Amino acid sequence: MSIDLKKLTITEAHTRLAQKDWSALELTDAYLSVIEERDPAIHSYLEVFDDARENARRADALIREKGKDIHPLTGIPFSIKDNILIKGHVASCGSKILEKYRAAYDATAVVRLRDEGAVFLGRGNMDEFAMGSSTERSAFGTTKNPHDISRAPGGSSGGPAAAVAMGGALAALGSDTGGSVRQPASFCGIVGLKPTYGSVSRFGLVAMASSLDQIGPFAKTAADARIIFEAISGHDPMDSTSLPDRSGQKAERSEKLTIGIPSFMDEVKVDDDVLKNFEESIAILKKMGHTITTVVLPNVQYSLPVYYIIMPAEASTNLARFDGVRYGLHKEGENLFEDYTKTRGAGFGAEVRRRILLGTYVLSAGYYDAYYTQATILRRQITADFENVFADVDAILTPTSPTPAFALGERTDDPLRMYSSDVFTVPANIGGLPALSIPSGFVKRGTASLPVGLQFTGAHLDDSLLLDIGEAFERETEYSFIV
Amino acid sequence: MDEKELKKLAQLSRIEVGESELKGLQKDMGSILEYVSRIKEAPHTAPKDGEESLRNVFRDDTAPHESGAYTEDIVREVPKTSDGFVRVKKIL
Repeated sequence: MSIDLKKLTITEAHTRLAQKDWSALELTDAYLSVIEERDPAIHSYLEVFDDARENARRADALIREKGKDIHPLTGIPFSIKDNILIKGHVASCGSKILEKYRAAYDATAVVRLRDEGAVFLGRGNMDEFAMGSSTERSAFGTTKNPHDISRAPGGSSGGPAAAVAMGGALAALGSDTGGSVRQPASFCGIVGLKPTYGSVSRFGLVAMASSLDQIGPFAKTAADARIIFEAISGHDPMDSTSLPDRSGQKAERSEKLTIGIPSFMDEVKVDDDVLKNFEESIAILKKMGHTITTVVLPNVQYSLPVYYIIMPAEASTNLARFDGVRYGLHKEGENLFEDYTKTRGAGFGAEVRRRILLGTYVLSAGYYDAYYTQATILRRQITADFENVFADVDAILTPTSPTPAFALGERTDDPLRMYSSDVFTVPANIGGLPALSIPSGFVKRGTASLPVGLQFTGAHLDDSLLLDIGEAFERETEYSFIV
Repeated sequence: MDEKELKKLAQLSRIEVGESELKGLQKDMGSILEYVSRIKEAPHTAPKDGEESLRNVFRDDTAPHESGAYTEDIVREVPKTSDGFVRVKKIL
């Protein structure tokens, strides 16, 4: 039996599984054969799990038991980013220092997906410790963009995004610290959600910058992203920054919304074709009856420099745990101090070392106030600016990234140029706000058609509103999802 | 950032940095620090420390797990062990 995966969504697959048109095992096998055929060229997976089919059989048992009452995620095959723990499986974070580390426990998001009968196909490639925007910083090889294999899939969650885009998973979990779900979603032509900070538990997500990190779903439609978001969100006592369960959703809003475009877009160099696509998207939103207006966020232009102080500061602290003593790589030195320096020198790649050094610098005596304290003050100011603007508008609109997927190797020698691809995504992490990237069309580069994404940023806890806007936008624009 | 400062930073970070890497790192760190220094131009009108809404959160110390329940899973990943303990070099 052949299953056409090209346009398959979770919603459709759920119907077919519930009707017993397909078994979960048949669906998983269909994805495994795409992986076998295409992944040697794309390298979206670091490992395909040998228990994936066993997961699928478990889902089939659930279907037999519950019939049509199964959860929409029962039997749905996922790629899981390599920094999200699945007990018993390796979680390397794309790093040599954790190359052989087997997780001793499950991430809460993993437990919640498994409880609903989701199938984990394998671990998705990523920039080492989620530090990068192209997946070129993985210690285990670069992932290629399925739309054009000479280009980056984005990052740091490039593996999971590419897996969904090539038909090697129906959905995926990534993590987003400064755009690591949304930017690869945009480059790969799929949907990516960075939820409100605290709405999805970070327990079992290997920490990069704890005040910015958030697990988020990849899917082919906003409706599918919502199914995953609803399954993985909710309070978790194991994550002290996890929000209390919502006592109720925000009040229903009219279908005609006010959407703000931040004036700072004028100061950012945006690719001409991306800008043209953005203007077309604005026209579609206006036709849908939404009001488009300009909003001023007086300090938002400082988001990226603030990010490159707070993120390395937290990362240098979080990554201090990789010392060769408790887990991961161990290199022998003359004494304990040398054990540390040799282990960390050999285990961490160039970008990770750069950020640890940077973080150590901005936290060191003499520089702390000028960099770290000032950045945290500005962070609060940027967050307050967002609150003010959301009194007037329902969502803020920008392109997800200023360019379509860039060529592999194009930015690896210039860290600042690599960082600039996150200029529109970082502000949501600074403010702890939800943000959604959805496909908005394609631009031509030579013979290749490259997807571009549209980003909606919402007020605190307005994840659901963003998904509503996304679903409505998708109804107006029919893009084929898969290449 | 001069070479001496960078070496000191590497030591504080517990990372061995090869001589051949120093030049490149110096250049990258310099350009990143110059970039992030933009924040010094920003007007800062936000509340100073003590006025923010951040608070510490502790989990209630209840329902402890059975002693040793996770030991095997955790110790399995430790590079050097001795009788179920983590083994490290002498410090003093």
